[in-house]
Amino acid sequence: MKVTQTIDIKHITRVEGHGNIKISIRDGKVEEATWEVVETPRFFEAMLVGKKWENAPWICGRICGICSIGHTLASIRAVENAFGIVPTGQTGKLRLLLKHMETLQSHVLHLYFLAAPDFVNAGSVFPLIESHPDVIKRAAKIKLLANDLCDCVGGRRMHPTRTVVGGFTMLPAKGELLKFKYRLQDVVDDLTRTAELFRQFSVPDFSRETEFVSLKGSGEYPFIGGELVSTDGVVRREHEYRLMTNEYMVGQSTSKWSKLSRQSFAVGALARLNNNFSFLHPAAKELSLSFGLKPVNHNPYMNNIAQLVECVHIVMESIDLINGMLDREWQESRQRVVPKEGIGVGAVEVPRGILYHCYEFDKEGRIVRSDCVIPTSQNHANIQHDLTALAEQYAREGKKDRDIELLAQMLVRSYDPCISCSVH
Amino acid sequence: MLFRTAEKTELKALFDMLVEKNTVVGPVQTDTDRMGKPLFAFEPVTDQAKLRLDYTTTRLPAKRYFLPFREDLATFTTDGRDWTKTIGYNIDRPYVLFGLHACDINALNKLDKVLMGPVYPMPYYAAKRKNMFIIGTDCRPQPFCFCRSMGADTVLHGFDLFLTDIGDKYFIEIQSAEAYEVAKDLRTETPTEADHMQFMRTVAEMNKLFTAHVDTTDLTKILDMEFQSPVWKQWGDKCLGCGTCSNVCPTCYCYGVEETVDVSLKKARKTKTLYSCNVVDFAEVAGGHNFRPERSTRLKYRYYHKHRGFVEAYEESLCVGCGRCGEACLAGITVPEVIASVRGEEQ
Amino acid sequence: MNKHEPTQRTYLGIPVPRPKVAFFELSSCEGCQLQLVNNETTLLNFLSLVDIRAFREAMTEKYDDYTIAFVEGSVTRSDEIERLKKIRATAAVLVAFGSCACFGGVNQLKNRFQDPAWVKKEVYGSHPIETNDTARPLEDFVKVDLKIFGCPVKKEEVEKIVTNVVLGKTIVAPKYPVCMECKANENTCLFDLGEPCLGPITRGGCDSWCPNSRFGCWGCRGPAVDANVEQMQEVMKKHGFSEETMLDRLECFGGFAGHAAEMRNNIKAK
Repeated sequence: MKVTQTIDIKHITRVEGHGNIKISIRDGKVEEATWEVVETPRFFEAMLVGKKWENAPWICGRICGICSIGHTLASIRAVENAFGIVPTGQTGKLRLLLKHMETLQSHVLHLYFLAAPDFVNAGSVFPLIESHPDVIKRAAKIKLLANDLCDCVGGRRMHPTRTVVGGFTMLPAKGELLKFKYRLQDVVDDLTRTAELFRQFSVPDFSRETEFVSLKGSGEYPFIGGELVSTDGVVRREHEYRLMTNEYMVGQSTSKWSKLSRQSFAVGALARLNNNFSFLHPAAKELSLSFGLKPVNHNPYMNNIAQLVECVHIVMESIDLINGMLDREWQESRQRVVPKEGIGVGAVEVPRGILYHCYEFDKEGRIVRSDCVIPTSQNHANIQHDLTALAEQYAREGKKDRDIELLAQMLVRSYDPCISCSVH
Repeated sequence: MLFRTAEKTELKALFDMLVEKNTVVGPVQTDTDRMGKPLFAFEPVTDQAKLRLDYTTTRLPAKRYFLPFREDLATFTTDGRDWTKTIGYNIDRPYVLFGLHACDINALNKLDKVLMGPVYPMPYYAAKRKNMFIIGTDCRPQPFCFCRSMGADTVLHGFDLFLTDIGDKYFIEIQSAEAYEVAKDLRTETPTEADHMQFMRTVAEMNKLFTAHVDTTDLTKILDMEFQSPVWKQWGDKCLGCGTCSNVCPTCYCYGVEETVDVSLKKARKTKTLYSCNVVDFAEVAGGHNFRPERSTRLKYRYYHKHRGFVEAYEESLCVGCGRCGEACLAGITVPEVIASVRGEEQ
Repeated sequence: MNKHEPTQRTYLGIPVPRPKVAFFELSSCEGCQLQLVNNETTLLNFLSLVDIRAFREAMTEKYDDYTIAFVEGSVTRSDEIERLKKIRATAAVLVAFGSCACFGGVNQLKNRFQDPAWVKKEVYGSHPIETNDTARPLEDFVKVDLKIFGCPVKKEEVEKIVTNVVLGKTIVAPKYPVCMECKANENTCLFDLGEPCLGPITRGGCDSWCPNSRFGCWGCRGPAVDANVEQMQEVMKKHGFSEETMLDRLECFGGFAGHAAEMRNNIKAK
């Protein structure tokens, strides 16, 4: 029996921001498969024009509620690169710790609150509060730890207050960091249990050969700055980001699209893992292999597992970072900032993929032009092509264990899209 | 009052003796301001080297040790239809306040008149006050200090020990039985006549250093006369209504009470929060009427309470001339300038 | 939202209502909504106080029978006006949730450009994009019953408000400035540290969130009642800060839009 089905989902739920999915299959042929982004643009890049440098990180954090720390750090990096400010080792480590906790908080939010319900046929996480209270408690515990440590280092878990160009306004108390180290060590077990939970889920069997773009690690799994790399072999310097993103407009999306060697590419946890697997902490590598996840994996649904793997890596590396800080005396937390004319680019891996901020300054440090390329923007084209391929596979093979309506939404959700961000 | 002297080295012995079994609170440097000057605050100290008895002043008085900004008057837990109320005075140990200046000790004595009076004592204040061991220290007048004008540059009671630096020694005043016990374990001498003279000379030298003055002659009468003076509007226009003056003042005690139920619906608390009569809704009552909607009247009221109303009730000013309000005020409103303007003087 | 009847909440044995609430967002970063799930220690308690009928970011089920609507974000496109009006017609109580909804938020920073066409061109080039020329707060289009200020909102404040709604207590937003809370937290004044801060003119209730981290207040909660903005300008000048520094903070979140516009004109005139 040939498949005939139409789905029309307005404002898909359990993702950040507004997007629509339309699929129309008639007699086994795909008539339409569209991923439409309808989020209203807010024009951050225009907002910044004429503003002095100190405004940039403060305003750009508000591009997104979930990854405000990532935006703030990318913005700061762009300003510092433009002015020739090199952050101290201490500042670098604190920023990385903060970045790690944002990633952990975001991945846990996504895995438990946004993605998991699909795997247990629930509409949201809320019914799980009654049926699986332990599962929810665990999620809350890990998320709480991540958020608390964000508060400690960044001042506030959302739209951070201690992160400024030049460093930090205030340093955390060592006694507090020590307590966090113990909490991190304790949470390793919770992550193991999370892995066991996800092992029970059946990940949809779908694959489409994709180019994956991320930061290129040099000795470490990369999160802040570095060269840019793709699984198709492209390597670029950080300031050449435009050559990696190639943004353009399409009618079906208020967000721009991107392309590189193929029609589209993907960024995110799966992309980072595909490009930098060897730099993962051994415990994370082991977990990844136990799920059959190794480079190069082309199943977008495996992005969920990649996020889980990253959670383990992050927790282990954060323990090391804190140990390093506890061993040393605190130094001056904030450098003096002297603005200069010029252009600066900051590339940071936020939970959903590689984020770029670029500013051009006049000699007084006022922004003349700004450009932000958001990871989800870079993913939209790939989501579209994945959706088309998924619809075509479904049209050919019919329903296996899940309906196309659920599969399509799960596909979009596995990218963990941040749509408001992508339109900014 | 008993008098002794001691070598400067005995200071460490005194500190070490007290810190062994008590929480010692004293002036420490907590920050540096944008001009490079140190900023001090009263914090618990365990290392005598951190104790800065040479401090100029603190931005905040040692308020949290006698009138915390936020304090639970009572907490409640619910259990079905029943509830339990727990009242605590929020003090679990005695404190040694090591290094209060005369102005701040006088401030506590004035607060005692209001908060430990015979009719309605405030147990939350009294419990803390009765568990304090106060060591006063002498100081050098800063440009903003006008304690001498307010009669608060020296203090006769309200402390356990007072240390005055008379050059090569400390001149020690012992006021209480506890202080006597403490001093017994220190190496002290009977003061000589020369020591007495040195003490008086030190104080006389200090008196010469004041540059800020407030003329308090007939001040209550003059405030009554100048109730409608246009100067109040001038100062009110500058005032930000931010409440900082009250918050840094060692004698401000006004507060509001709020009852909040916890989101679990299983707990509740009744919290006292210090408030400021300078804040816009201080004089707003149930029903919405505000008796002092203008900044000028609120600022005037605060000055009247300190320099007129309190005087009528207790025959002394509530202001100790520590100068903190003027120093902390971002609008630059200081007591000497305000009083001078009311008196029609140039400052 | 729940397939079975939720357990009746009581306070001192008296049943309390479980209001039907819904969360919506217009043009926003969705951070204020995220704050609702961000206070993990009290999350379960908070969720049990209300019956969530719609919350797109967290749940798929959607019901149209809500009494209290929390709307985050500012109005930046015509379809948002329609959505907002529909929400207003459905809900008995409309809450402007966060600074974007109350004042326009950072979105309203684009309003300062005289040429809206330039704004579009700067980001999208010649590609047509449909948005309104200005980003506006909710109250420009519908009646707003309650405003919760902040960028982001403070979860504790939201919990307190929701608890008070459930118990039938009055909801009061502080009228005093941030300085009251900053001093209560015994912070060193930002001006002493050489940093500008709008604390003296900004509405409190955030517990001096930013100054606690030695970051000067940027006024996200809008003006305190009877805020003395003119004197604040003098204070800034006295401490050596430029008018541009004050203007950046004044106009960032839209709470001081009138004052900011005036200041911007004055600076331009010079």
